[in-house]
Amino acid sequence: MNKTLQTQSPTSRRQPGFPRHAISLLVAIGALSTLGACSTVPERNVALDQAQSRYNAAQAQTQVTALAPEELKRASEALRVAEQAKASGESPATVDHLAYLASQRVGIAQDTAASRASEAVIAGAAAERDRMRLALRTQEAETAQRQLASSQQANASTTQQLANAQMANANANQQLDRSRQATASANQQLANSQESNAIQQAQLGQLQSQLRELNARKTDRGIVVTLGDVLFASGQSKLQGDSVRTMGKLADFFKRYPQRTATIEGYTDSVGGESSNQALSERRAQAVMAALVSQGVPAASLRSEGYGEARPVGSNDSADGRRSNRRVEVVFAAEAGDAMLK
Amino acid sequence: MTHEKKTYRPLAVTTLTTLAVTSALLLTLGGCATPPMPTAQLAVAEAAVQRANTSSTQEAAPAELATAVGKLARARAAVTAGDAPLARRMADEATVDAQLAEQRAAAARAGLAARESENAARVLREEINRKTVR
Repeated sequence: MNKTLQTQSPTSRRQPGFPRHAISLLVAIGALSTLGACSTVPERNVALDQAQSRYNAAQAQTQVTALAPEELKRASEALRVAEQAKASGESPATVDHLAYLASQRVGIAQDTAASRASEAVIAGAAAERDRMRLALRTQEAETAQRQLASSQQANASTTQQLANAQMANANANQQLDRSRQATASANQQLANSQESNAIQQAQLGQLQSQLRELNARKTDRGIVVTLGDVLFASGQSKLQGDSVRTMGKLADFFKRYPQRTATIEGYTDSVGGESSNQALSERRAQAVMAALVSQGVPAASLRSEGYGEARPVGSNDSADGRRSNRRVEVVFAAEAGDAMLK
Repeated sequence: MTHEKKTYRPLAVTTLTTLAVTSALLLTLGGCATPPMPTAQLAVAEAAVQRANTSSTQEAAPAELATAVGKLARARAAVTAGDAPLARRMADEATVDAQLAEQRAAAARAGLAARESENAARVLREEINRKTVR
């Protein structure tokens, strides 16, 4: 008490306005508080305070607690070590050092968390890019498929058109072939008919000239070649001199036209009896037929007939008329084409 | 008698020897009582600094790396000066500093990569939108 008073005295002298008891109270409180601080409350360590506040800040960040829990735990352990060192009265240098380590560990935890957050962003962005690329590829593939499908369709229709055109072409070719064939056969027929026509014409020409030589004439019964009485003497059925040559011509004619048949008709004038004339006409006709057969004409194509005094061509009153009535007519059966003969 | 004397002498020698060995041992123990040099912590610090000291850390966290390198130098100096406690503190701090530098550089790199990645995704999205519109 005494000591306290002694130390207080200079102060009281410097500050005369203060009451004595108040000053002593203040000093007592100050001394008590100083003593209390010395025994119970240790002095603050700035580095440790800083480490603690940093740790608290980091712990408040969800990114750090979620992404760097291990690192944060190490920081927490380092902080506890520093706090224990402070509590157990280690030197300030040691506490500073341990607090520094704790602070740095908090920093490591925060940086680790930041790194991992960025990596997550990178991974997310990569996934997003992949997703978008996939979408793009899908889109492109779909477009390509659509184009392919439409081009295939177009191709198919082109192919169909081509096939149709080919078929039409084939049909046209077939028709062309057919019409060519038809033309060819028509030409052939034309040629044939021209040929046969020419042949016919030639044959007709020959026939005509031969018939002209034989003094043939066209009648309703057919073509008639009249052999005059010069061939026979009156009342005779024997052929006279020139007759052999005439028979030759007729035989030739038959050889050339073997399909022709002919009726050989004998006629007389009215001189003599009717029955004898009939017989005479038959004999004459037979004589001509025999002559023709003897010259090679087939007997089957010949027929002989006697008509006596019938069908006179001239008057029996005159010698000329009677001579023209004494005759044998070779009547060729009418044939198609004879109409063209003049 | 002579026999007894002969046996006594070696005994005295033995006692002396034991004394010498004990005192030597005590001396050695006394040497051990001064804190040993933190060889292991120093090795760890060397390894951590070496690991962190890359061109990319130099670029992305130069201050943190410089701190770690400086602490390691102070730890070596403390070893030379025979200050084991300081050597240990500096070695431990150098280790943590190196780890922090490494991690900070990694975070910076990752942050840059993340921004680039997001940009790339945005560019691609825009491209796709253009194509879709077309």
